[in-house]
Amino acid sequence: MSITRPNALKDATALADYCDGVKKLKNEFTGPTTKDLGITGSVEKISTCDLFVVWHVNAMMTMTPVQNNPEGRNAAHRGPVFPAWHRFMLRQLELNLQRVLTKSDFALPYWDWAMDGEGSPEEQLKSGLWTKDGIGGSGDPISSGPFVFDPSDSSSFCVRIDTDSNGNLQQSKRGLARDLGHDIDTLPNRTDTADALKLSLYDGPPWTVSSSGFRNQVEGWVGTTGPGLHNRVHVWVGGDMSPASSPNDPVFFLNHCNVDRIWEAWMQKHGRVYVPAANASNNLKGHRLNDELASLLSPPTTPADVLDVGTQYVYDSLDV
Amino acid sequence: MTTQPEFLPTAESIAKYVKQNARKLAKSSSMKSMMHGKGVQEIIRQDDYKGHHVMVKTRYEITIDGQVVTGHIMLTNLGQVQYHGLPNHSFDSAVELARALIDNFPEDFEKKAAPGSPRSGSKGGSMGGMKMPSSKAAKSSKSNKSRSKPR
Repeated sequence: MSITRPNALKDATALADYCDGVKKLKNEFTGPTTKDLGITGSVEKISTCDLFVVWHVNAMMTMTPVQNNPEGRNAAHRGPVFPAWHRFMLRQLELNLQRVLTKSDFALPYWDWAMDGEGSPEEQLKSGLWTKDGIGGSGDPISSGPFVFDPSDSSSFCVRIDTDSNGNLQQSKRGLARDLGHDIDTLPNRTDTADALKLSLYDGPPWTVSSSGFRNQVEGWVGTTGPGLHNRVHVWVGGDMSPASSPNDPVFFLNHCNVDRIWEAWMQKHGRVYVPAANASNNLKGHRLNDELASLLSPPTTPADVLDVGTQYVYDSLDV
Repeated sequence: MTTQPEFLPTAESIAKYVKQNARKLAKSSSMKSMMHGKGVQEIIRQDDYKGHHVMVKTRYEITIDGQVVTGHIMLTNLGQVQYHGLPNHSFDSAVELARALIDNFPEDFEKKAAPGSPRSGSKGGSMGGMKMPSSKAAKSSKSNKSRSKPR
């Protein structure tokens, strides 16, 4: 049975469940340790929530291909696989949230940031998402909402794994940081998303951040006004959304759920088309239709397997 | 189209797959092999134009207060500098990148405190190799505003 992913700002119950579930996953330790994953320092158990951080960083560190790759295409970003890999990641999070919430009908909410982006810079900062009843506001560390860190409370939300300036995973113990609207004043808006939907090409040579097509547009490497779409949201939120360990901020998944919704809207318009094909050059290994997507908590899947997810979930609206 | 029944995770399956996949990831995670020792990175871009083959080799060796930056640097065909440690940003130059690193990771570049001061011997208020809550305070510096292009 298919579930329906709702707008986080229109379904308070879904957002509250999401926050509750993330905190539960943050305090679930199934066995893997920092040592198992090559993270230096003392040997500590890694929570299920933090495994998503490690997974993201490791996928980003996996260059595809290893050599002759000046533009840095990796196993999850900067190439055709970007929407597919994140769809896989989101679904794994959703299934785990259903498990810890014991709600098989829980559906991941999305943050329709392009709708917020229609307002003035000041209005964008006042979105209900950034309130204590949403996911909390700005700060280093944040001081409102469900993800505030309290050093005296071991169950409070704590950033335990992040990356250093060289991109290496490291242990930490601190509160979540956000710097909303600091590095860039505005979110993407409806014009930006409409421009992406107009593109009939999914992706194309050189299959990198220099490509034309929907994938590169939605990832955010195209444009003359700074970072676009997905990238722009990371930069606008700032703080822990800036480094490779960005899944530390629960807004990461709300952002990517909206990216996934935009991809779904694009496929409704242009068909469930994915390139490069399975028989494309080995230079594109990791990004072709039937290549395995880098996995950590589950068996792998392929881009082909995630193109049509209608039996798993749908969105309440594809008006992006 | 998904044809097989969907895999439903359990606490046990997570432990099992992390162990299994961690080994695979360690093998495939190739970033370290991209480094060229002592922080020098050479990026080779190639182009074919009107029957001519163009090759541009660019070498980066970035230090901040003498500390070598070893993170993976990328260079787009349009000449934008990008960096895995700040994966959603694009910089007009490597100098801009270095400034952004100082803004975003102040604890990595803190000047050594004077002997006897409370934070002497620790890195960004860290203890035992673990970063502590105060370490990201300098992130709120407005100076990093310069790294994003105005819209």
